[in-house]
Amino acid sequence: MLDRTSDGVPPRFERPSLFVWVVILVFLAFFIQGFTQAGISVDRLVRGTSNLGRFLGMAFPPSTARLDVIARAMLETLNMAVVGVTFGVILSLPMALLCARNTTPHPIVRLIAVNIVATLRTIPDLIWALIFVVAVGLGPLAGILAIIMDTIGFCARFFSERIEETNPKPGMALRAAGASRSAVVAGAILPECFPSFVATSLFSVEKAVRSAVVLGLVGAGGIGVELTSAMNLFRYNEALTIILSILVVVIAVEQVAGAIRRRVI
Amino acid sequence: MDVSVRQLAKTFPDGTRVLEAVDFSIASGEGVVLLGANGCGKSTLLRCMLGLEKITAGDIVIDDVSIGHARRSDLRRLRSRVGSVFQQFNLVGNLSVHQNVMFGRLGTHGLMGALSLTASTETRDKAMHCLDRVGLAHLAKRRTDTLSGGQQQRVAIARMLMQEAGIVFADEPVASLDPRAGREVMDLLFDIVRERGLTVVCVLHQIDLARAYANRIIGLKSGRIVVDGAPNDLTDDAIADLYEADRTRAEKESKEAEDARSNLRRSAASF
Repeated sequence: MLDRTSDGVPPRFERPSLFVWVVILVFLAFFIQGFTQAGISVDRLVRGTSNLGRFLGMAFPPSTARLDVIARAMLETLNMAVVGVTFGVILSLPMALLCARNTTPHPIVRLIAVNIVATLRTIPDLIWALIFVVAVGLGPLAGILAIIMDTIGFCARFFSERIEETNPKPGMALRAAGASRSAVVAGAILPECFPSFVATSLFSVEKAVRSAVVLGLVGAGGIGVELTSAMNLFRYNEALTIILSILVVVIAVEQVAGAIRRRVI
Repeated sequence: MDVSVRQLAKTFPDGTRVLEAVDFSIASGEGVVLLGANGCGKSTLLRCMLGLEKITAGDIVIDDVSIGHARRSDLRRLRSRVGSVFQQFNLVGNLSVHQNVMFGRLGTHGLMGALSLTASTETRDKAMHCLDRVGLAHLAKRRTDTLSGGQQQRVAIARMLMQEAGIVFADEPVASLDPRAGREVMDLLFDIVRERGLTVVCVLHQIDLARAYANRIIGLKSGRIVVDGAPNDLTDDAIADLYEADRTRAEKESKEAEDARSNLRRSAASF
């Protein structure tokens, strides 16, 4: 029989380390503080539910009066997403080549490029939109610029990670046959990455459609503009129509993008 | 094309000495097979000959170009005349067979001259001829990664043909293939080499293949040349000796495993 006290058999339970205790404590402190700060009470929840009921009562049935305006705004939203992502992807490609360890011309260039991309990614799209509304004024152009920034932050990072994962051997073979560095990138690295680039770009389109909807809330064009004005004017039945159409369009875009992705990969 | 390796030494950045005082020359049209145990420096030697690995000391001269002192552009020009065949074929898997063959012209014709979209009709036709020579013209449109290993190695040979190389470096070209496909690839490779009078340096692990195809066998052991001669002049003992170091290491390892097992038995008995 095995000796239970013999070393080698790990214990069933190990006492958490001091570090784990500290993490748990800090989390609990934040949680309790946040819970009390939010002022959650049964009374407010009940009142909130009845308000929600009133909103739904006013929203039903959804209004079809301004369907043409809503459709045009929705088209503008999709346009913003497609144009923004297209430019974003085009700009992401050189950025990703500068960011990837195996294609960057110099480690310092890589460091700079990686940090630029990280900054683009860290700033939320809504803030980009606020900045661009100040810069170029209200309307879809601000939204498109915000989506371009957001797309570079997302795509350049995933593109560069895929580039770093490429099998070095075909590229080495081309180099052994006298190919230049740029020819190796174009001949061996990019073809291998292409399916993944398409998949990432399609994710980016899905993301951009969702954010294009929201960008209108700060005046950067698209369906969001219609939604805020409907809400502010208490036209809840029109707001419901807009919300339902957003739901339909976002799901449709996700389905189409998913279908294309399955084809490519 | 002729090759002259002069007192070549290669030390990796971590201090490992891979090659030491390697010295030989190969005349134009010679068919040399490099033999040796794993880690003896064969592949590093090939990589040094292509200028893909920096030389620590000594030099390699191929067709009057000194690899150690060549400028990048000279090195590229030389490489475009050196055809390479690798163990893993090293083709671009999701491109067509035809496109992969055309990549043989990247060195001489540049990217635009080698891409299917922009290459000249002459290049595109030539690639078909090369594929025909290796018996794969009917698969030109196929995605390369849908081919079998033996077929992919033939595509790699067609790519080498496309280069119109004067010398061929082959790094274990049949190590990933079954014996039959391996024979076929070796037959094809050496038929082409002989009909065009090319020089070959081929790293192999199969002694029987080395004897069958080489005019000359060079054996490396721990980074030094210990055997150099025509296949008929080399005894089986001399070749077996190349793998001797490995065998002692393997024996040592199996002895260590045996020790570990008996230790375990002893500790089990004490319970």
